[in-house]
Amino acid sequence: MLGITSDAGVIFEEEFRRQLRRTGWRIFTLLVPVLLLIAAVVAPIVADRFSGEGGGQALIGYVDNSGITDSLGVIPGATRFADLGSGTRALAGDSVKSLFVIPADYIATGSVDWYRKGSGLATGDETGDAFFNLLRAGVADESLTPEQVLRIVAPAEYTLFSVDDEGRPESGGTVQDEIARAAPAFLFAILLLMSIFVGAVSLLQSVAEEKENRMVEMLITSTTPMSIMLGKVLALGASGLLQISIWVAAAAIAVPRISDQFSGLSALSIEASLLVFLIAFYLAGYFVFAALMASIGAATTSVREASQISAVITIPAIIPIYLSALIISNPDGTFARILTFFPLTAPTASMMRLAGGTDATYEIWIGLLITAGTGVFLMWLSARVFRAGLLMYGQRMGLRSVWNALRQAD
Amino acid sequence: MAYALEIDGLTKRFGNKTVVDAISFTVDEGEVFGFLGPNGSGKTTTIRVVLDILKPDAGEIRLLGGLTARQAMPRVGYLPEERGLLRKEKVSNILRYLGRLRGLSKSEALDRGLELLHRVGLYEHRDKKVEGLSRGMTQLVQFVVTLIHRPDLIILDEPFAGLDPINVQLMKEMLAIEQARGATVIFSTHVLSDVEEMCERVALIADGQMILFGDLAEIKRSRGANSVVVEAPSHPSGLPGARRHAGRGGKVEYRLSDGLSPEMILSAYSSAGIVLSRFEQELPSLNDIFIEEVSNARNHI
Repeated sequence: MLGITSDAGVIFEEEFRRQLRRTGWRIFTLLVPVLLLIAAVVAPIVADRFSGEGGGQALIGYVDNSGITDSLGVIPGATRFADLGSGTRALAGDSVKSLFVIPADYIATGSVDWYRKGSGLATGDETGDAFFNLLRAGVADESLTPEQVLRIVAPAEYTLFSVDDEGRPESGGTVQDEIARAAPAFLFAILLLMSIFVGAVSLLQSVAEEKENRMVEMLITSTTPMSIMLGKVLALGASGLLQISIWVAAAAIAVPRISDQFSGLSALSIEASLLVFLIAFYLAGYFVFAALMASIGAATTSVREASQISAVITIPAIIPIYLSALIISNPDGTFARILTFFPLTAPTASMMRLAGGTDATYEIWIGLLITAGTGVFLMWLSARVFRAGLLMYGQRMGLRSVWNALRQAD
Repeated sequence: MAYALEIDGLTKRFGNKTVVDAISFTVDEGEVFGFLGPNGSGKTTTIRVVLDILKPDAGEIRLLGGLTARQAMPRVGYLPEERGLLRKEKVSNILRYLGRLRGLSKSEALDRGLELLHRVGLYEHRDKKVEGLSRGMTQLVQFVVTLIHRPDLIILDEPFAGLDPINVQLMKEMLAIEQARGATVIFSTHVLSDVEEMCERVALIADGQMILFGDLAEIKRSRGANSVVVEAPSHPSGLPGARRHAGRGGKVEYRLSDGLSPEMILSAYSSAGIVLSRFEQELPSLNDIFIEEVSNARNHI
């Protein structure tokens, strides 16, 4: 059928073997487990360090010329200095990490001087956050109880409820839960794209190499173009799937170990349905990209030229990653829905919509069907371009040649 | 008579250009057949259409007693003009891979491949990567791949191009063995001495059109003698229209043209009282026929 013969199996075996022996594939496959392993080893150390810092050690120092903190007494992790000189000496002696000087007119101006040892970007510095909390506690009314002051410092942990069209609230969860649910899907969208690209770009290289090496006539007189294409596509797809499996297995082992150390990550979970969609979109998306990449490889003159032209295909695929915030925050918006029905963006856009908790799962299925159908159709087309283009040694196929190849009868 | 190849009215066009124009010929089973033509005459295109690499615009092709190219493919060995192998692969891996694609098992492919490598003197290079071989060696490995599945029809496109004389001789000997086994050999070339040495029948095309086809000896005979070689102690001067084509020592070759006949030459020597030690009419060489026919065809166009 469609010119597929048992030789596709031989080509599959050969290409799979060749792909697994490529240094690039091996490095890329092992990179994720190695990074996770490092994270698993480093996480407990980092967590210990954080817990040590929370254990009452002096983190910040301050000089209060406004008297706003006079009512607070001794604050764990904060040391009050009488003047700037004693404060900066303590800073120089490393007994505090930052020194804040509250001027007498603080209430009117809101400005505070921040002294740090050395230089560097202060944004996100935990000592800044600690002083911010200190100030919030300081401005609280003296009549408040310590519990009330604590609540001002850490005002709320949200529980989210979605309300449907009838006004009925649906199951709720904390923000951390939402992040934990969205994170794997987002992560998988990126892994999916990376893996599809590795497979498809390998295919492009394989086809372009055979053209460059003048090997193709020997192949094409041994079996059908469709068998060659199918064998190559399946082999490189299988190598991509193996790559994802290794990553998922490594994540399954390492992530619990890492997330145990951080309360915000402890709710990280991977739903079975997400895995099913991941694999289905991998296969469908891979066929689309692989067929296009193989056509480019056959129609161009060298690996280098083929790689340059392939950017036309890879850029649309990256769009959903760039717009991830928009898609996850509004998974059923018009933009997210359009991207779901376009084969080049459907795999990543769909994973993002699942991450955002879309209500229209049927649209994800439609997107999957469109992508899979397009993949099969493009495979058939690319076998024709492949056959015609591979013989044009040292020549690029113009659009007219591509069109003629597509019209050529079997 | 079963034909190894039957081409009937084959036409192939690329855009508006007709590259092969309604050519027809047959190749008998078990013969070595020469497919001749100047550069760009349509030889490679014809072979690619025969092997279903390109689709014809018109005409019919049957291989090995009436099979289509796709049906016959497992029994065909093909050495393309555009040659190359995967440069990063070991020779033995390539033999196993391409042998399997030609219907052999893994072990058969490797065994036969190594046996043939032995015969072409490359056995020691079996574990080398292709990029470590010379161009001639790579060509021999491809030749081995062509023969690995003991094909019934062997099609070689410019097989000897780029090879040194020793390897050319080696390939010719191996092809003779293949013919003795019963295989049919078709090869395209414009090196006419190879054709005269190896082929019984030939087809000559120029600018996509068939100019000559048939038994090589008959083609030559049908053209008649086109020169006379005379060996004598001396030679008469002033023979009308005669051209001293080549001469060394006592040998002179006269081109027959413009009213110069063998009888006139003989009469001239007799009148001058010169005793001949050799007087022989020579058939035209394939080279002469090739040049004449291709020139006529081009002048005609």
